[in-house]
Amino acid sequence: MASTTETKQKKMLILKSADNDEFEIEESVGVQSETIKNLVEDGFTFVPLPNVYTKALIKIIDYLKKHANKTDSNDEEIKTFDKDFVNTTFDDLFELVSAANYLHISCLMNMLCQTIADRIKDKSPEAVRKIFHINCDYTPEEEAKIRKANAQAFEGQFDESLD
Amino acid sequence: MAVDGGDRLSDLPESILLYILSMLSDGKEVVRTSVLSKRWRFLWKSVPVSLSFSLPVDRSENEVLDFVSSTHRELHYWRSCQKVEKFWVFFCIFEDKFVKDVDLWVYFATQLANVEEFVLGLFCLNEQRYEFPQFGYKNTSLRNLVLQCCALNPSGSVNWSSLVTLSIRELKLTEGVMEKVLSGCPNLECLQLDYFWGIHRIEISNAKLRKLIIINYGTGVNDVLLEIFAPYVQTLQLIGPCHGEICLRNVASLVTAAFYSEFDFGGGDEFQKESSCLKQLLRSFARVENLELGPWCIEVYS
Repeated sequence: MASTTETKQKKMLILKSADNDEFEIEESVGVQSETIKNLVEDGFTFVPLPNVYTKALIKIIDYLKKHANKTDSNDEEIKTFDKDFVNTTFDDLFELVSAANYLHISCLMNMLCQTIADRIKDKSPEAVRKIFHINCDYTPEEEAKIRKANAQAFEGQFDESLD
Repeated sequence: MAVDGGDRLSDLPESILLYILSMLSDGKEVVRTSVLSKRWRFLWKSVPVSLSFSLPVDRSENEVLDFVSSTHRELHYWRSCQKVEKFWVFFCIFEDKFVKDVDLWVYFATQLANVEEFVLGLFCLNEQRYEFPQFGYKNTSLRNLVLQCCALNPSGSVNWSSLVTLSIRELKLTEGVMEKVLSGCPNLECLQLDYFWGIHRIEISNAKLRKLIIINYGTGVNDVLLEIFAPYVQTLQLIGPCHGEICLRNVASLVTAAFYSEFDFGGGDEFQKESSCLKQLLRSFARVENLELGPWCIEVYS
């Protein structure tokens, strides 16, 4: 619904992804990213993002739009949105975390890093390796030495499941 | 969630991996990642960690000894970590035989790990106090320091050049010690004294020290008067029972004052004296912009 009092033109920005797609967003949405904010403060309205690919950028713009409209009443809605947002493949998560890091969006960084950290939490090192396809390049002797050096950290029962 | 290909996690830049590791709440969890692969071997040492050890009250002798030795063991591997930001230790049964152990914790905090926040929460029976070791008085990393049941007797000068908040609890002070400590804290902004006795005068000339919190002054007999000279303090909070009169000699910069204390000079016949001390104190608040008064104060005047 267009408001009649809203005569003032909203300031817009153009974001350009690494694969040369352009997206127009409101300045107020974009400045949640520190990187964008710094450019806007220097007078730029065209923001090339050579490290952010279109696929990740679309998702991040969605996130920024949702969070720009945060009010007291849509708390639950945003929580649900965030939950869906991180419910994706690891490849997507890593892509998003790289983009969020480049764009300096701290709340998104926290959320993505926490999501990844939660998959390490309580797991045995063997399980973590399997979950993330980490190739162990230690010799058995080297590994035993590292475990011994910090033996206390390896005491106890760990979760061996891969989910 | 499914992994689509190879090890893309390890391919992330180090700064992101450290960010992820910093989200693990348990320090041991962070250490365990050293074994994943060579890429991960030393990452844990750069992750900012907070260490907290606490021994609840009413523990058996064996449990106390276990606590002490397991704390030593854990600290042993954290000594190679470059970023222990906070180190809290709550040790409820301090006795003389643990002096050497507590010395080692102070050594870890102030000389090895160079933490920014150190909380040494001791609890002593009787008048016994842990003598804060001399090496601890020189440290340029600490920003927040809480010392409970520690006797402060610096023999030389104090250098806590980065300290921003200092909280001292349960301590008999001797005249001049606080001044000596404060002279080594040029960046101190907030001082909290909680349950202290033994002094009649405190002079705070640190220009940056804007906030003073006084909780529970005096134990009774000898603590009849505490004179406060604090020309730069802007916020003053007085909380808890005060067993001696508090006299503000110079609080020229005071903007905000909160008085939630009650004077209790012992004995029911002291009420006259208590209320006249209160009157005098309130007079020194005449020029403050914000004044909060607690229930006792209101009771006296109603």
